[in-house]
Amino acid sequence: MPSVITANLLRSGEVVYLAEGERWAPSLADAIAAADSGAAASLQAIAARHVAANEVVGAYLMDVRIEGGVPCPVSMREAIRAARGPTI
Amino acid sequence: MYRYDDYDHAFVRSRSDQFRDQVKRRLAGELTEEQFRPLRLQNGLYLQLHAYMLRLAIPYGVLSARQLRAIAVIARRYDRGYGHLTTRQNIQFNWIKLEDAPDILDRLADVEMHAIQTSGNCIRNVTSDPYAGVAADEIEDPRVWAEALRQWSSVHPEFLFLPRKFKIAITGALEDRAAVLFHDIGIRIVKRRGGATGFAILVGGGQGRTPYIAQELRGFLEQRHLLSYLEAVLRVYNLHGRRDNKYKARIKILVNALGIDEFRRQVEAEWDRLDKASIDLPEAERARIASHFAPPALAAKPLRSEAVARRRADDKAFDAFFRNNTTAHRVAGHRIVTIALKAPGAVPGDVTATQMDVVADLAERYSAREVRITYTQNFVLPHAALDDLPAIYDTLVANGLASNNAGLITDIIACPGLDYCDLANARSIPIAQSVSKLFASPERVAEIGALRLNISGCINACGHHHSGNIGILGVDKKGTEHYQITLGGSPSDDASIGTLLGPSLPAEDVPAAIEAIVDVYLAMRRDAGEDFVAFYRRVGAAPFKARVYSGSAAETTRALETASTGG
Amino acid sequence: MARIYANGVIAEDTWRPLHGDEVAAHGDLVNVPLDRWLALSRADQSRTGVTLAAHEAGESDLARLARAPLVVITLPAFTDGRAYSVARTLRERHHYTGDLRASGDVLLDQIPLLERCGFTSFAIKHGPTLDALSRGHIPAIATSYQRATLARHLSIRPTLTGHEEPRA
Repeated sequence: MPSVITANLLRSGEVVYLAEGERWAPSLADAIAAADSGAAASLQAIAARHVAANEVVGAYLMDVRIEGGVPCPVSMREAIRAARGPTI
Repeated sequence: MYRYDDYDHAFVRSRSDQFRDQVKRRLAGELTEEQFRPLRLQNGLYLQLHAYMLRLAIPYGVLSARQLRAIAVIARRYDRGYGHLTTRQNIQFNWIKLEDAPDILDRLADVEMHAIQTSGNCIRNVTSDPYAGVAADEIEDPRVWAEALRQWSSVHPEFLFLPRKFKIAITGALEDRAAVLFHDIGIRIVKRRGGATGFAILVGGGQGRTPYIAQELRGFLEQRHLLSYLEAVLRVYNLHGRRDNKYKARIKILVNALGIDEFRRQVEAEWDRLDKASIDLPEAERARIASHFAPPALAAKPLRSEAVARRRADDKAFDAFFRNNTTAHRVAGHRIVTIALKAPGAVPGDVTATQMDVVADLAERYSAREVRITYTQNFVLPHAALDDLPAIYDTLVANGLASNNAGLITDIIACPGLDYCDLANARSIPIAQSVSKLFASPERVAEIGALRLNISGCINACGHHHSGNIGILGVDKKGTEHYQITLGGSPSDDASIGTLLGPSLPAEDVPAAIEAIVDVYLAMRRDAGEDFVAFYRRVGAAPFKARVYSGSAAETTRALETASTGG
Repeated sequence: MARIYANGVIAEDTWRPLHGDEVAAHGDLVNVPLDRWLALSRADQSRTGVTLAAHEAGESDLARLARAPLVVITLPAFTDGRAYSVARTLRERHHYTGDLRASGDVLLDQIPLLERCGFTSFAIKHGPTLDALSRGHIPAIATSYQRATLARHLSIRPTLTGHEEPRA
């Protein structure tokens, strides 16, 4: 299954996704998706550098499915995170 | 209520400065996240699903009007205009930025507040009876010792890196309204023949993955030895609690592994060796703290108010509010008023900044400037005069705060769940909303009577579902939200842990299941005087299982017949 | 290599661990692990430092440890709080008067707390901690609610001390 990296910005706590050019984007749609475990490992290495640089915390790999060329959440938890607010 | 002196002010200011420095060092990379995390947790700051969450300490649930207004200001300025009342009498904000947290702690310090030790592996907020000082059944006001415990536990250098979190509750009335039997240490004020009051010390209660009811550690402890005795308990726990497995690290695990007799032997041996005089509270200090809890000067008033009587006769909603949301006060002509944050479809325990200001104004005007928070996620005005009830009620109605269901099935206790919480498996708020809408009829709710319904979004049980008369636990079943139902729990003197009814249900089936459970109860209880727990203990799970899992009335009847013949 | 922070000063460690069959020369400041130390004669115990993890020593061991000139408690992780209880027990119950040292995962923010429990020196490897200490920057709270655990520069409410002197 394809995956993306997600984390929270250290200063603000905002949910972000690793996007093109090592940018941290607020929208899951902008995240770079890794198609296989090799690509995923590269993303994790990039994320680790940003964690060590004190920009983000709690970075992890999350499963996505690609719909219309754009990564979408697979789990309820990640759908709620990506929506950036409660469902109620 | 307690008022800070210079030392208390210096303490919170110093703590706030310390945290500001820690944040600065974190942002500069002098501390890694692993090194910083326990420090920020000990100032109430969690990293949650969407953002940082800040949990304010509301010591034993007591707040002044001024403090509540300051919380409203923080909600507007640093958050999204609302806060959440927790199941440990605290208030938390969901949308805090780390870089703002030092400023927020400074503003809290301005009004004698803080967020010290509301998280982390340390002694947490000491909770108590929300009716402390005013209940008709009170033996002695527990807040004096709750405050002493707050000070004793605040940055106690020996106990800031315990195996796990540590929760203490203290009660001073005949009825336990603080759920002491579900705490790591529960303290009951008891009276000996001859009149001396002391403490019964209970240990090893808790919810979570492995719920336990606390056991008696000591039946009677002289009041003056409370701090040294607790220090002995904490030291034994600190040294011998498990540190190899986060899920087996609470004191309840240690107490049950050793057995209460061996645990007691170790505590008493440690206590014997302690230099008690250097730890116990000097009498002068106890008296100083106690002087802050002298009751406000409330003039005794007539037991009966014409205005209230007339309003009750004319206004059914007000009558229900009077019966469900007000309780006898020790001073004649007064009532303790519960402001339930549980309107149909509401998020249990959420309160807007505007509503906070309304409650603060009511406290200022009608309740000697004091307000309380209950662990059932409601506010309490502890000192309302009977004659003022209609005016108070009208203000509540105008601000969406008049739900007249305190203690009833729709007075739901729910954790924030997967909508907010990083630990959750499932959402709890939508379940609470659908159940509360299902029971929107006041007549039906009244017919059901007192019933405790609790919802937790995961096994950490922050919604206290184990002690719910009806408990609902969110689980993750192959990626979809499912819910287990437990029945027969009770948080109070007759404490019990609910038993699992059967396999988990998908979210959409939960309301019907609750309806079925209520139907069985209403159909087969002896009379309105047999409450849900008594009924469950009499008939068992079978009639409920039959109804919920098959829905056949005939099966239910068969099951009930079996139950009544003792099968 | 850890450096030792004590009495407001950072310096090299004057003690060294004794390895294997090594015999200490007269006047050497050496320390050994707990089980080796317990096997020493009483006279040697009063000349030799001892290193242990907090959970290793039982009550009777602690009574003997009070003879050592140096007791080093190693924290495997700064979140392991057992060292704090062992330190207080050693000081208050067994009247230990020697140098009580924290080593292992020792970081800036725990130093004031460790001090309050009776530690008098700290073996530190963490760079930012050493930097902060060398600048005299210790983020401690100025007041205490627990009079049994005081340290320098800490004040306490007079009504808590009653007729007693606060421990320095």
